[in-house]
Amino acid sequence: MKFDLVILNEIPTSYRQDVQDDLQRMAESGPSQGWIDRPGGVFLRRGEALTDQ
Amino acid sequence: MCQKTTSRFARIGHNHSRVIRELELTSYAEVVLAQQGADLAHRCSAIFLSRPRAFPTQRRDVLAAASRHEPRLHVGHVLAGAADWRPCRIRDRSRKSSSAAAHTSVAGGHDDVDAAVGIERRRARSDRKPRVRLAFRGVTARVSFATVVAENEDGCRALIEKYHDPQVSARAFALASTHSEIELRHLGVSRDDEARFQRLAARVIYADPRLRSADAIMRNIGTPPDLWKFGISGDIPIVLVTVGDAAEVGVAQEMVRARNTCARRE
Repeated sequence: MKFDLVILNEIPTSYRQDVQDDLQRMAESGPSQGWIDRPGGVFLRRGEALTDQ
Repeated sequence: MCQKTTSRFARIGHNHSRVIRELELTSYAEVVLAQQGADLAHRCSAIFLSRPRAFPTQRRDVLAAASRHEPRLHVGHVLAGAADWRPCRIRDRSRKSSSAAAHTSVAGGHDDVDAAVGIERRRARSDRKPRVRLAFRGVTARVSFATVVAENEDGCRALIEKYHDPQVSARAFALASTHSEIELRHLGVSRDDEARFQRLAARVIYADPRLRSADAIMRNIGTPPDLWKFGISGDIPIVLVTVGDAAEVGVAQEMVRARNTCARRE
């Protein structure tokens, strides 16, 4: 069963870069590595990048 | 070639009384061949176009074919029964009397066994229902229901034959259980986690409104192509996790594990 897991980090960049790093590290470890930005995989995005557009 | 089987084991009864108990069994299988979205959107047309057809079978299992396209898929529904005999004195006495002889099977061997299956929500039913007779105290009956799918009639009949043997279902269950145990350990997922992830998956498949943000949907003016610039196709369901606080990283982590588990399941 496939779904795209979109993780939206809404913490402003100026504050905590470490949360983004944590999320990145988490997505890239374990069985989800190799599934970053691929259909049925994990999509890590920053909230501010999305609201700009 | 496409061949699939799902089975369910049921421990259907234990006779605690001193009298003969007879249980009637009914089973329905509902097979949807259309894609989930199409089925939700146009249920009537999906049913109308499927042209289901039932075939006679020797043992009164249900065999039917349905498809909107060639090749037609063949679906079979099998009920196989096995009885456990618990050693007790009552049993020994009963076995000596002719009336109670060999009465803990699905009634009449396989002759009376039938099941009802609905192909694309058309239900095929037979007037005689399968019965399980618990002839005396201390007897438990176990039955297994198997739904089999194959691309042609012969393949389907072969699977039906195979799953008439309760041992085949038992072996399949033992193997599946071992396999899933190993897989869960590899994923670092407990049985409880798995159950939770499965509930989540069901809500994603059936577009359950409880997990959807009605407010966000109301405000939404975008279309799927708007997602493309973020590298998301919109072709498959999207599960969105928002992290507004460092403490919520755990939720995201949980969802990554859910994704990993669900991705292993067909």
